[in-house]
Amino acid sequence: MKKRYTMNRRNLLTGGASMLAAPMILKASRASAQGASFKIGFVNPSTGPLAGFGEADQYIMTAAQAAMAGIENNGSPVSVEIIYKDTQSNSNRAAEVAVELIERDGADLIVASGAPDTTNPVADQCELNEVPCITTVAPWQPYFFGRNGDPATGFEFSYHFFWGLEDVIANFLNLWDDSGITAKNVAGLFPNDADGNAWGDPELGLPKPLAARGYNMIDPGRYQVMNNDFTSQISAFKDAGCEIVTGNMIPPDFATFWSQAAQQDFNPKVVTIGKALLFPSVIESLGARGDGLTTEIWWTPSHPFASSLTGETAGQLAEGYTAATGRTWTQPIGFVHALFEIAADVARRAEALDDAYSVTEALAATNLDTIVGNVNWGGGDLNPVKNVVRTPLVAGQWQLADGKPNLVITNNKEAPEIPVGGEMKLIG
Amino acid sequence: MPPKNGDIRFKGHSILGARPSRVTELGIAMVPEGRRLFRSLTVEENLVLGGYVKRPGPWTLAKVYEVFPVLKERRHQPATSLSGGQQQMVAIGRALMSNPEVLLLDELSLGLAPVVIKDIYALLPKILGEGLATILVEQDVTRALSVSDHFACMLEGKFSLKGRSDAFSHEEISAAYFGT
Amino acid sequence: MEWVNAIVQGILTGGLYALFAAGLSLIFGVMRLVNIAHGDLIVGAAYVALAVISATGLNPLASLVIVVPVMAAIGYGLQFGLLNRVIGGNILPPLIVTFGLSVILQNLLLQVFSADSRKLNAGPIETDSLKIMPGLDVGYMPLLTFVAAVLIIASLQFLFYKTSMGRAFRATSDDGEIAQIMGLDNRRVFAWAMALSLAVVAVAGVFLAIRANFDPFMGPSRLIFGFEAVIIGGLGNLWGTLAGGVILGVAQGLGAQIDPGWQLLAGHVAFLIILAFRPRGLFPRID
Repeated sequence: MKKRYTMNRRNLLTGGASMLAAPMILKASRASAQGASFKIGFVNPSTGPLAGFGEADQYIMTAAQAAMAGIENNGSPVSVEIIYKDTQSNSNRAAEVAVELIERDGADLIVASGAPDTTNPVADQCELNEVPCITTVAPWQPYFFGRNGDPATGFEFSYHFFWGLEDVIANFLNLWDDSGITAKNVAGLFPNDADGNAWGDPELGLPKPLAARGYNMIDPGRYQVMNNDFTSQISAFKDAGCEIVTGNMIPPDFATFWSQAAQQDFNPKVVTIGKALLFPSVIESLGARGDGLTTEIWWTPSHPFASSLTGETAGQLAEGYTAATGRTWTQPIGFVHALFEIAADVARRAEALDDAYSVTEALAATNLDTIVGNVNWGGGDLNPVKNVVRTPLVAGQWQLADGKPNLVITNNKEAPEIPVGGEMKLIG
Repeated sequence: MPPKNGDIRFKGHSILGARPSRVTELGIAMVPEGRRLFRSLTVEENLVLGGYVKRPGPWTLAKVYEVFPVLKERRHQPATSLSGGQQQMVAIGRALMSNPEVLLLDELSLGLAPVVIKDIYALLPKILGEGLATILVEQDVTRALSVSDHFACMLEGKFSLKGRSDAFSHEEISAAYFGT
Repeated sequence: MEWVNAIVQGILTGGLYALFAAGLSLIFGVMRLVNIAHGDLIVGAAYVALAVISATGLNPLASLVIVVPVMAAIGYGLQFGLLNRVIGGNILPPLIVTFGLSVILQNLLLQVFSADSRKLNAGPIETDSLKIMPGLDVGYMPLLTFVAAVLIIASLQFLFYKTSMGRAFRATSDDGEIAQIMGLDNRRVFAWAMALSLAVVAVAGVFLAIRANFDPFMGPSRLIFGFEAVIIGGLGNLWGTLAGGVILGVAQGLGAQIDPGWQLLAGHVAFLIILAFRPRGLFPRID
C-alpha cells in the first residue's frame, strides 16, 4: 500500500508530461484563487515515558500557529495549518502517525522532537515517502548513525538540528577542569540502552577524550535501566577513589544511585550526569540532594537569542510559557519553538509550497537565526554531516535558592556567546 | 445447570437462582458429593465455617464433637489429612453447623471403604433423631432404604418408582433402578 | 568484604521486591487473579502519598496513616465494582481487564499529575546509614524497607491463619462454590482481599517513592521482579514471596559484583534455575 502510494505520488510530481498537465492546472488555480496552503505535521510524545519532552507542546504550537497567520509566499498569503500527533512515547506509533500525516492529512512538511525514539522513525518515514522533515532534541549521532546514515551521502528529505556527543564531552571536561579536583579517576554510570552504549563506548564515547585530558574512566560496565541496586558500582568507585561521577541516566536510576551513594559513604564532589538532570521537576524532587549537580545545558532563558518568528527573546518565551501554564520553563521549549521558526521560514521561501522537492530545497538552504542559535545546513563547521547542524552547548550547575532549583551556566568555553551566570561549587 | 422452566420453592420462597448463601440462610444445608472440605483449613475451621450462617438450633461445635468424638481429637489437623470416613464426618458436621431444616446428603458412601460406610450409616440415626428432614442421594440402595422413611428412584431424569421405604421389595426397586 | 556487602545490600533489595510482590501474592492466592495493574497501583499509591503530603506537609512515612486506608478503600471499590464482574471461570477476561486498567491508570496519572518525575523526600533518613564495619554500611531506608516487608508478611500471615477473615480467604481460595454455600459472599471476600492487597501496595508505593523517582509510566517495569519473587517463592505462600524477593536481590547483587551487565541477568537466571528444578516454586501452597 505504502509503496504503491509512493509510486503514485512520484508519478504525479515528476512523471510524464501527459500526467503533469492536469495537476498543474489545479495547483495554479488554487494558488491564485485563495492563496497557498501549507500543512505542517507535528509529531511529539505528549503521553508515555517521554512526555516530559512534550509537556510544552500545546503552548508552543498554539503560539506558533498564531504567529504564522501573516506569512506570505511569493507575495501571496499562505494559510498555515499545524496538525498534531502524539507518539505515546512509542517508536512504532511515531512511524504510524508520520505515515498518517503524510497520506491522510497531506502534510507538506513534518517536524518532530523528543529523543531518538521520536525523531528517527518519523524521519525514516519522511525519507521513504519523500516528504521534507525537520527534527530536534536528540543528539545527532544516535539520530544520524541510528538511522544508518552514510556521512558521504546523507539523507535527502530529513534535516536535524541539535548538539552531539563531542559537545557534551567537551563541556563535561570543562566543568571538571573548573572544579579543581585532582583525583583523575572518573566514575562512569552507563545503562545498557542506546544513549548509555554510545556515551560509554571506549572508542566513540567518553573514555578516549577523557584520557586525552588526563582523566581515567572507571566504568564497571553497563547496567540495566530501572536498576534497584548500585552497590557493586559504588564499591568500585570507592576503591578507585573517584571524586567525579559522570554518566547518562534516567531520573529513577540516578535517584536510586544517589541515595545509595550517601548510604554507603561514597561522597563525590562533582556529579555530572546527562539526561537525568534535564528537568527542574527532577531536581526539585531530589530536595537538598539536588543542589550542586552538574549537567550539559542546551538552552536557557538567558541564552542571547531571539525568535525569528515572534521576535521574542529566549527569556520572553520562557516567561510567556510560565505565565500561561504556571510551570517552570524546560530546555526543550526553545528547540520546539525553533522547529516552527524554521517551518515558517521555509513556508516563506519555498518556490512551490505543494511540491515536496521545492520545499526540501528551501529547507536545505536554511540560514536562520533562531531562538536556539543559527541553523544552517550549508556545509560549515557546525555541519558534522550533511543534514545535521550542531547547536551551541554549554554546561552548568543546579543551585538551590530558597529551595528552588536554578540552572546556572558556569562554563561557556564551547559557546562563548552564551553568558555565564555564576560559579561552580563543589558538592558537600 | 440453569433450569428451562418451573420453580423451586422452599417455605414459600422461590429459591430458583437464589445466591447459595441465601439458600443456606433459609435452612437448607448440603453435604456435597466428594465431601469438598476446605484443604487449607483445619477440621475445626471447616466446622466453624459451616456455622457462618448463624441460624439458631441445637448444633454447636460441642454438639458435633459429641456426635463425632474423633473429630475433637483431630480438630487442629488439616481436614484433608483425615481418613475418608473422618472427612465425611467433617462434611456432615460442617453442614449441621448451620442448623438446617433440610439436610441434603449427596453420595454419602462414594469412595469410602465398606466398613467405614457402615460406621457412617450407624451414626445417621443420631443426627436424624434431631428432627431434621434429610434427602439422601445414594447408589447403595440397601443402606439408603435402611435409614430412610420414603424413597424415590430416578431413571433418566424421571421418577421410576417412589413410596415408603418398607413398602416395596428389593426386586421391585432394583427393577425400577436399572430400568429393566 | 565487597562480596559480603553485595550480599547484604542484595538481601535488603530483596525486601523491596517482597514489598512489591506481597500484594500480588495475596491476590493470586485468594482469587487466582494475575493483576497486571499491580505496578501501576503502586505508582498510583505514590501519587496519592504525594497529594497527601502536599496537602498536609506530613513526612512520607507518616502519610501512610492516610494513604493506606485510602488505597484499601480504592481496592475494595475496584474489586466490588469492576473486577468481580470478570473473575471466575476463564482466566483471560480478568487479565485483559487488569491490563486495560494499567493503561487507564497511567494516562489518568499523566492527566492529573503531568509527566514530571517525582520523588518523596523523607529527610536525612534517606541518606543516613548504620556503619557496621568498614566497607559495610546499611542504609536506614533499605533496612526499614526490609523490616516493613517482614512485618507486613508476618501480619498477613497472622491474618490468614488466625482470624476469621483469613479463614474466609482460605476457604474461598480452596473451594469458592462450597464457601458460598456456607454463606460466604465471595464478592465481599474478594473485595476485602483486594483492599488488603492495596493497603500493602500503599506501603510499597511510599517506600518506592522515597527510594527513587517515579512517573506515571514506571509501574510495569517495577512489576517484573514482583512477579518473579512470587513465582520463586511458590504461589500462595507469603513467606515464600519474601524468600523469592531475597533470592532475587542477592542473585542480582552477586551478578553485579561480577559485572553490572549481569545484574538483572543473574536474577533472571536464578529464577529460571528454580523454575527448572521446582516448577511450582520453592514453597508452593496452591496448585
